[in-house]
Amino acid sequence: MTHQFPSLSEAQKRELHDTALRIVSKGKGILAADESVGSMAKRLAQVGVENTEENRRQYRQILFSADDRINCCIGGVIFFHETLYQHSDNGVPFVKMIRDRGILVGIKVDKGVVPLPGTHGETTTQGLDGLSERCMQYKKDGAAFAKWRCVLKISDTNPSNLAISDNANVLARYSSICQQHGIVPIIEPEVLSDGDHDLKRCQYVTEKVLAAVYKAMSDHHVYLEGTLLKPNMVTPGHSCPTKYSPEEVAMATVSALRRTVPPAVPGVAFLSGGQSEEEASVHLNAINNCPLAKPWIMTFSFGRALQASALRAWRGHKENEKTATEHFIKRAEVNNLACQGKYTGGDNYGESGQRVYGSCHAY
Amino acid sequence: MTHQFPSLSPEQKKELSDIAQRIVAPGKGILAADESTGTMGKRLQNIKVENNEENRRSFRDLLFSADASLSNSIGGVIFFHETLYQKSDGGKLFPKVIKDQGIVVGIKVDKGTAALNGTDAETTTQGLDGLSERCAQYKKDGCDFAKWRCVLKISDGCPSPLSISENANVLARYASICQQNGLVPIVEPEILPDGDHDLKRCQYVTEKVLAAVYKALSDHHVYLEGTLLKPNMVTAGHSCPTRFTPQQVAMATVTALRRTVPAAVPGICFLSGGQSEEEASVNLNAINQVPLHRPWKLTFSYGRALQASALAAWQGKAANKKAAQDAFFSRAKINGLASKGEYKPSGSADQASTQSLYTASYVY
Repeated sequence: MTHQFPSLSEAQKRELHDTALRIVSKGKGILAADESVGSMAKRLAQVGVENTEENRRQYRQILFSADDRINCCIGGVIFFHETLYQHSDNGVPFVKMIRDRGILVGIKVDKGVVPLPGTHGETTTQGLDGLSERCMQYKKDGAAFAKWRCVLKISDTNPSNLAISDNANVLARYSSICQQHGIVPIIEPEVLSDGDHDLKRCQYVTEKVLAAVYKAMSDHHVYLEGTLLKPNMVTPGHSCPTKYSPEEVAMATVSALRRTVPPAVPGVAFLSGGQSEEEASVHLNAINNCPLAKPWIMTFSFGRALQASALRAWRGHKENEKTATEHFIKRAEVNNLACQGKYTGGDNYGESGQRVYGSCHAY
Repeated sequence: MTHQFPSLSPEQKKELSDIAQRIVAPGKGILAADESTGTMGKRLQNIKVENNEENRRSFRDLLFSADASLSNSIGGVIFFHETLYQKSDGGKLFPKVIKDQGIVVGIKVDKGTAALNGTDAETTTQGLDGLSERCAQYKKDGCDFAKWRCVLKISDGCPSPLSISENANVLARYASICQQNGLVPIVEPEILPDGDHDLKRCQYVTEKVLAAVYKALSDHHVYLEGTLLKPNMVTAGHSCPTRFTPQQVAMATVTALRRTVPAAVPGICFLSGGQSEEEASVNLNAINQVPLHRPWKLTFSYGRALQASALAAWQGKAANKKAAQDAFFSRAKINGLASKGEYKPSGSADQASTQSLYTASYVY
């Protein structure tokens, strides 16, 4: 506890920090295209498409062949392992397609959730075995950052102390290993929105979870300037009877982060969870307009919230590809505005009226 | 861990937040005038003045009436218990003298260090017994903030994990109790500069200590927006053979704080430790010029670094009162400027030339 055994050289720190800043540079966020084979099955089933390797390749191609309009909107793309080694119809590796336009390549490195025995249905995340060697290989294969998702849920008994501490610990181990290989770890402690809890409850739990995450980061000697955080926004549970405005969601979210995320963290890239494309953008916009001081960049790392329309437009038909790509570009451009607080559109906002954020002391 | 049992109403939170903001309003810092009787003894002995109640009163009176515009540089004054119930030469209670100038009154509430058995002479701090009742009384008697000092040291085996966790825990308990009684807690985890360790070592230890402090504050449900932090600057040990510039001290300090102190904390008020008056001002100034984003106010909570010249000028003699007041007021103004990064010591390089000293290749 008293002597430092430096794990990163100055040059390594500089590389990690620069990478993190590039991913979240002004107006940019992350396309989370790292759905596992199992998750893709769910997505493709919804549009009546068979879950084959070829269909997954075709689908990702729709996203990756978006034109230069996305260059100012997307700073990084998270890949699933399979996709990292796939090519376009013209034989161009996807990694090359992405990197050639100045977008950074990321890789999902966790191996999914496993139960925590003795808890009420809670999980931790596996994937640490051989992670160091895998990171080394991914770095050679073009990845500059990684992602690892932990999952916590709110119920009468959850999250338990064990779930909070074990997930924080495993996120810190993963981060520490990534940094040794020049890979920026995206830290994702997702608090699920399942349940009927209100906004306050989600805020409270999010604060406790993030406090534990950053204590673990400190204990594991993780270089914070070379990391990114991918948290949930603070929202009520899906079955909560009370409705909250985007400004209330924003205040609760920013308050929670201000109380827990050290200013040294360069950026916070929100997950969209179960939110619709528009909901996620409107919330991100409100977050960026929240009057509380925010020392980190606040942007997006969206999966469904960038892809839902594109997927529905495609439905597996080649003739729909261009339209599908257009839908993706549109969401990318909307989120480019939202992460700068400049998005004035939105289903429920006809006029850009005065947004009422209310008193921060109620949070 | 999953359900909140709110301990503060929105009104209580607002009151605490407002008090904290007033103390660290732009250009202002804290006068730490809370030396215990024993500590005042040491100060007075240096100028060969007897350590009696009247002399202690007389010196504080001199400070508190130093100048009509004292409140431009001083946002809060920390009192020792005895002083809270003493009066000015004009017969006015000291808390009123301070409050009438628009300055916030604070009170030291800890009861000194106590040994941590089984460690290498490390300590924790006592004072939790009956603290709630004491805070309620202090609030009635005019106080709006409190201070509690924990002490850690750097050596081959220190600080130990126990020392870090025990001091963090006791600071969090103190903070939680203060807030229940409308007092803003100043959280002071001082890491002593004794030793020959270098700047890096102090930075590393400071980061570990502060990470533990803020985890404990979270565990104890403390409302961060209604607290202040009083840390050491990150400096090399007193006997370290290497000299470091104010810019290096500033970079190491701000980096350590950015890695550990949440943006919700309104202000960080550095202790001066063993630094001279000028050193403390120059370092604070450099801290406020560091080209990294600093989401909290960075100001002073100085004892010796505000009072040393005043004490030396006073010598315990009434005839020297004005000279002593001028000396103190001068340091107050200088530190007010330093808290905005606007202090230009005469004869020193201007901002442009010192700016280049920050772009060192060293990554902290």
